Formats: sequence, C-alpha cells, structure tokens
Amino acid sequence: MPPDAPEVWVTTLVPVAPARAFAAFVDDVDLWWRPGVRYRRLPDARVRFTDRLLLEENAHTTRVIAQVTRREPPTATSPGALHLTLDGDPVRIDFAADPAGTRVTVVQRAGRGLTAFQSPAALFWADLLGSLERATRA
Amino acid sequence: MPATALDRTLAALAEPTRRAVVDLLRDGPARASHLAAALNTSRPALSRHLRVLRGADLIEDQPDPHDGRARLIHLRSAPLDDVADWLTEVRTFWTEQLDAFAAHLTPEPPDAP
Repeated sequence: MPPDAPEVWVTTLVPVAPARAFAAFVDDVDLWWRPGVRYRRLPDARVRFTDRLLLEENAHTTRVIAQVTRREPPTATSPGALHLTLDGDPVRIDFAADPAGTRVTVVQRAGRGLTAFQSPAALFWADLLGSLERATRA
Repeated sequence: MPATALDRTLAALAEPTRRAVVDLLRDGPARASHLAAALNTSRPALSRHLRVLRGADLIEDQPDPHDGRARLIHLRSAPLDDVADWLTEVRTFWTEQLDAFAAHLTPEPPDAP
C-alpha cells in the first residue's frame, strides 16, 4: 500500500552501545550538531536539549529548533527512540543494537496533518518520482 | 516549499485511483476515455478525480494534435518537483547531521609512527 506522505530515511552506524549512543545524541548535541542555514544559524549558538525542546541559543536569543514529543531511552533488552517535531514534520530517531554498535536511523515524514503511512511503500514515492523525472525530461 | 502546495499534492495522490491516473500518464498523455477504460471506472467518477488532480496542478489538458476536437491529459511535473526537493533537502540535512554524530562517537585512529 502506498504511503499517504513521503518519508526520508537516513541511517548510520556508531561504534558504541545503544544507551551510550542515545545519551551522546542528547547530551552531546552541542558537540556534534552542525551549523546550517535553517538550524543553528545564530552566531556563537549553543545547541541543547531540554525535556521538551531542542534549542539553539546565544547570549541574546533563544530559538526552538524542534519539540521533543517522546523519549524512549534504550534498555538492555529493547531499542530506544527519540521523537521530535521539526518544522511541523514528525521525526523519529531510532537507536537499535547492532553487532558493530548501534544503528541510528532517522525517519522524517512530511507532516502537517497528513496521516501516518506504512514504510515499505516509501519505494512507491521514489519510483514514482524517478519515473516522472525521466518521463518529463525525455 | 509552501506547506499548502505540498499538502495539496500529497492529498491528491493519497487516493488510489488518482495515483493510478498519474501512473498511466507517466507513459504519456492520454484521453479521459482511455483513462476511464484502463481504470475500469465511470467517466463521471474519473472526472471527479481529474478535477482534484487539476486543482493540485498535477495534470493539464491540451488539444490532441491529431484530433482538434479531442483533449489530451498531460502530467505536470512541477508539484512533484516540490516533493522531490523536500526529499532531497531533508535527506541531505540528516545525512550531514548523522555523519557528524557518527564522527563524534568514532575515535580517531592513532597517528602513524
């Protein structure tokens, strides 16, 4: 079944256990979060998570980057997840154990009221867009 | 990208028959009668779907060059270009962030002697 909204999946592997990866993602965010045009654009900005928000702030200004909607730290027996709302899009960051450490996967879905969708059908969008591009540029 | 344009595109494509219309038009422009037959749907029902797709700027009608009385329905790529742009932008953003996160947690190899 095709999705009601497109999703983007991005994944990486880090060489630490899930609990350490989750803690580093949240507690060390200022050390790894890259500056950009849309987020962390304030001069000399520091980035940090609070219980409910991801903020960038400097001596003069505080900006909300994202809302934290749910925290599920990994345990010894279950994967973890961090749920955000970023620009109105729901974002889920999964932390799953892997033989090499932890697989961290970000899933951002086009949001703003669109209904949830089933992941395998993401291929529908990729296929549709790819074919459309070929068809319209032929 | 304006949220309303994206929402309109996705809402139009959320319906299976309309996705099937888009799928058929990927092969080239077609008459409404051909689409109705291919989808085994009535002309009035198809017209309702085509109206939604036109409203989202996903299709447009043009004269059939081989028959001046007939109209051909063409696929328009611009609304889906917006979706493609969104996918690219978000993918690039998170790829860069996760690369930085992985680098943060990956120890640097010791300097060679």
